[in-house]
Amino acid sequence: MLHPLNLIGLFMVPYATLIQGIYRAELTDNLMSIERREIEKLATLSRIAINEETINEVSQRLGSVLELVDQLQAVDTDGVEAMSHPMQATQRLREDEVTELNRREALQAIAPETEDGLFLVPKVIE
Amino acid sequence: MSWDTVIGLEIHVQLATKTKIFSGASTAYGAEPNTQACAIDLAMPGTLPVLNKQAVNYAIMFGLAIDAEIGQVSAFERKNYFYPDLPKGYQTTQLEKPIVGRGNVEIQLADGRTKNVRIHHAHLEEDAGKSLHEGNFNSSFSGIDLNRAGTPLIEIVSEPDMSNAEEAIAFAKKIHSIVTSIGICDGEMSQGSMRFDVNVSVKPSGSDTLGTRTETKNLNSFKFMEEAIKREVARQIDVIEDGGTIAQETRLYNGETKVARSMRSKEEANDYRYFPCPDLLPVVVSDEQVEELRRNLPELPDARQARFVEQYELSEYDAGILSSDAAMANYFETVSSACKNPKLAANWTMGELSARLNSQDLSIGNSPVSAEQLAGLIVRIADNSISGKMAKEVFEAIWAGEGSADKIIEARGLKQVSDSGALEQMVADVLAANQAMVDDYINTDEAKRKKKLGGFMGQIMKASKGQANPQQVNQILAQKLNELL
Amino acid sequence: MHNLTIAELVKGLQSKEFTSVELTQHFLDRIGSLDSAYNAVITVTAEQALKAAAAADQRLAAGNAPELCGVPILHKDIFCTDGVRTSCGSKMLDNFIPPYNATVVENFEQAGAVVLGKTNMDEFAMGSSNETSYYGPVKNPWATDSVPGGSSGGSAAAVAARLAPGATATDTGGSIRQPAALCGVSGIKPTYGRVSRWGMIAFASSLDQGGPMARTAEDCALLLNCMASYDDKDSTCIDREVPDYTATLNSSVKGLRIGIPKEYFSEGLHPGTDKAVRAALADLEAQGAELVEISLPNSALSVPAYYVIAPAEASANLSRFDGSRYGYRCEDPKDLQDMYCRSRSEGFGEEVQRRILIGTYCLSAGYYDAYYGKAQQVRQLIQQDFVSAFENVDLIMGPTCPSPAFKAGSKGDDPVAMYLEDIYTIATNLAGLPGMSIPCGMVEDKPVGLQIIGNYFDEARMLNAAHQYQQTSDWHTQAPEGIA
Repeated sequence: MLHPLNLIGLFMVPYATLIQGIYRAELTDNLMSIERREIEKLATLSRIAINEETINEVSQRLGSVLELVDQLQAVDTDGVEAMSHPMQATQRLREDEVTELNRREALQAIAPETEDGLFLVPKVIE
Repeated sequence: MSWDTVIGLEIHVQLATKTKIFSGASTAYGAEPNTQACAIDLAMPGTLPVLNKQAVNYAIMFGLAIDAEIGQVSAFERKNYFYPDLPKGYQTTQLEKPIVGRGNVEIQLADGRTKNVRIHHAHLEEDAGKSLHEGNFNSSFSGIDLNRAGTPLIEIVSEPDMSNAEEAIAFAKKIHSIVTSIGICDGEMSQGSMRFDVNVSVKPSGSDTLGTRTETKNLNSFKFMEEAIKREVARQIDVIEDGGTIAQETRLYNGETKVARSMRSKEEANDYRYFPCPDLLPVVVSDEQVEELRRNLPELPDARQARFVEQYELSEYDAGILSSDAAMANYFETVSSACKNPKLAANWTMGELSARLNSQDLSIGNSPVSAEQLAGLIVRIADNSISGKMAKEVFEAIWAGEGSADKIIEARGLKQVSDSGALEQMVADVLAANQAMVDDYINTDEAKRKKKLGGFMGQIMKASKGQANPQQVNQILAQKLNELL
Repeated sequence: MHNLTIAELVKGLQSKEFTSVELTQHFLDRIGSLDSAYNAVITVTAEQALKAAAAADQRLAAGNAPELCGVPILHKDIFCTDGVRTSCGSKMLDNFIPPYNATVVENFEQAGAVVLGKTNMDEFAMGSSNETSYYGPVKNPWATDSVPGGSSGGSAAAVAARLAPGATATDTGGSIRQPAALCGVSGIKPTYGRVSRWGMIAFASSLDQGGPMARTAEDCALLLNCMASYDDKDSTCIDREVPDYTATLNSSVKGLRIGIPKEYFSEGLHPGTDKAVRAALADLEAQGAELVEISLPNSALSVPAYYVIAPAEASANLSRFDGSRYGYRCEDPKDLQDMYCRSRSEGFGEEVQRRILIGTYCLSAGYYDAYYGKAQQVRQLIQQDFVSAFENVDLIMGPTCPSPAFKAGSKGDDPVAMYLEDIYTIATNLAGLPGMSIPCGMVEDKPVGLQIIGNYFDEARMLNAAHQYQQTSDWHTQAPEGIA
């Protein structure tokens, strides 16, 4: 199960449906490796480790979800404004007054590791 | 071959609000680690942001100060990346609809030219926390302090309108001057209140094609910025002249070692996946709000410079220096109005005081000598109570915390003797006690006599323990010696 | 006592027929003896509950106690509870004890309600079957081999099994209505912005909305009276007066115009569900309501649009779970990236990871416009469908789900089949509209839900219609075998 949109990044072909039958058969091997690279990139971006054994399964399941959401491509949305919020409201502004006092002890009681009030993490290397 | 340099700046300005941009936690500098990081700042599950009104107002004030378009509707986006000082895993910032649009800043150069630098936009965003690499913990760890996380920033993005380090520094200083003048930033560079990212590229002189640029991040002083630009320009020219190409990259300049290096880690996966923040709604700014802020906008540096020339009869140059820093301008005006002597107030503020502050890396806001104390000193200089030389001693004593000028003059007995009767007596005594010198004076060729006066002056000042008014002594001395001829 | 509705419990408590302590102990006992069969409750807070019940009894004795004072409820484990573990159904938060309350939790505490514990749920509310919880699947009390629906499956199963008379829940794409339908209880997802999201762990911020579940519409109204509030800690909460939702329950539905979207009765709808829903509509028609066929032409696009928008928002919302400040941290991380990757891979379950990856994909460079941008435009079209429809009708009704509860494990391998479970419920989340589900029949001995969609802030009218339907039907009074 491979996802046609993966072609776009590579060949800059405009969307979608037109590609399906045409390229898929010929480029299967190529696509497989793109798919793999793509998943590895997503895993890096989202800091999720995917092991070797499951990568094909993950790829297949993601592919089927992407096929579902690909139905959107056929919709004519010319001139339709993108909707980020369900309600037509505007941002409320807060007065610039200190309302949050020091609760370090309570907030750090549930931290994995702290020292002298600092959260400890494995060394940060720039 | 000769080269043109193209420089653009991104300036992060911490806004001087009492609280964070999205939470009610304090932004005061220097608190114990994580004592000013509330549940929202720590990105605890279920917490939500609410926007700080003052941060919005400050951003608008900056827009007004650079004559920019104010975004009537602005919006926040999430910029996604993982870093320990970024608790949510995304920075809330503005991309598509920034609050401040295009504007202009005029800079003055040393040769007297002025130049316009275009501002592409300025947007609101939140600051990150800090990673500490040394502390009371195992060296394989870093300690994370999130007190700074969520501090409001405006990021000011210039067009690449600057063509050398001097222009870039002039621009950076002008922005510093503007934001401190309108009171939206404390301008404390040493505390990170302003940080600069510098985009630099070079191209063959006259070419229309821009070269590949590099970005040197997080410079926190004008000095480091100047060094970093000069070194980067030289590096790029070297690379190209040696047949190499410039890689588009982010660089980090170390002001201590004066070495810049590539931050490859930051490049590796540079896909920030911006999208509209669903927790925040569009920010709508009304015309009334903008007009009210415009009416109350404090004086801008250029206007203040013109006023200083007009009101205090200062030179353009002096007025320019004094008005470039809001704290210095305010200090000067306080001194001037208290001592009623703008010229001396300007000289002392720009001269002795600034030199002392610089030498100790202090800002004028933290000056050990208050404006009132300096004014007190100037009053005593102006009324001839003390000499210029004495004044420096008194200034040092005020700096050391010994109190007001009058108190120090009194305590140290530094008051200048200007009483002409006393001075005449003093001169007469010295002349009488030094007959040989007087004879020598009389016998000297008229043209060379003037040189001999110094010897008498020294004796008289010694006799007066330095308190004699030198101008008066000069006069009396000349008069008395003339009588003997 | 467990068969009494909340309205009846309120009367009983106020007339001192029983005390809150007795009531609380009774429900705690039921959870203790029955929940092993359903796994609906993750955390039982017996000690705190009895203490709160005793305090409630004092307030009741003193008179003028708030309406819900002394009434036991359960909170979905997505709402932060000060001092009580809030897991969100995830290993990631198995050790997470928040030092703060969600506003919803605060509202019930102010009202003197007694919290029995926290209900099981799909991990981070991602699921339609309650099979993705770290604490194991929830069983449907009507047929324990079937799913209770999700993600608020624990709340729905608990109410169906009479482990509590009511529970809080959340709905991002149907997570209140679908489990309510599959478990034969009533549940309402209010208008977006009606209930504060503060302290409610975010899945997809522009879609998430808290709401109550109970056995009757009247009880939902009582709970919503307390749950809904304006909250200045949530920028998306709407500053609008909360009406008394019980005040209009008894109005007649005569003349009420009910829109029947033809797209909701097409291919894929179980014939038994179809029949039950039509029968319920006929009942309302018999009461004087007018049925009007309408069209929501873009409704088929709601699932694909949702499965771009929700994972995209989730991918960012869940980045904070990185092992640094709270929650799960992997053993012996070898460096920072290892800590991030392993904490997240070990702490999140499969479905959560899948949605994070999908969301990351939809937002990544080169794909944003095709996916996220497009989905946001389609979202607008879907909202417009409803806006047009509500020009002619007062309410919209149809099935809540395509079919009754399916067998546990039957859709586990196919995420898309699972996603289609929410085909009738998702559109209201995209539009921000209120939606409700009430029991309206039985198919294959499992409950069927009637979905009621209202216009913005028209919850009172929805509750009124639901209550009127429940005056002439008894589906909501039926109990699973062995429960009553």
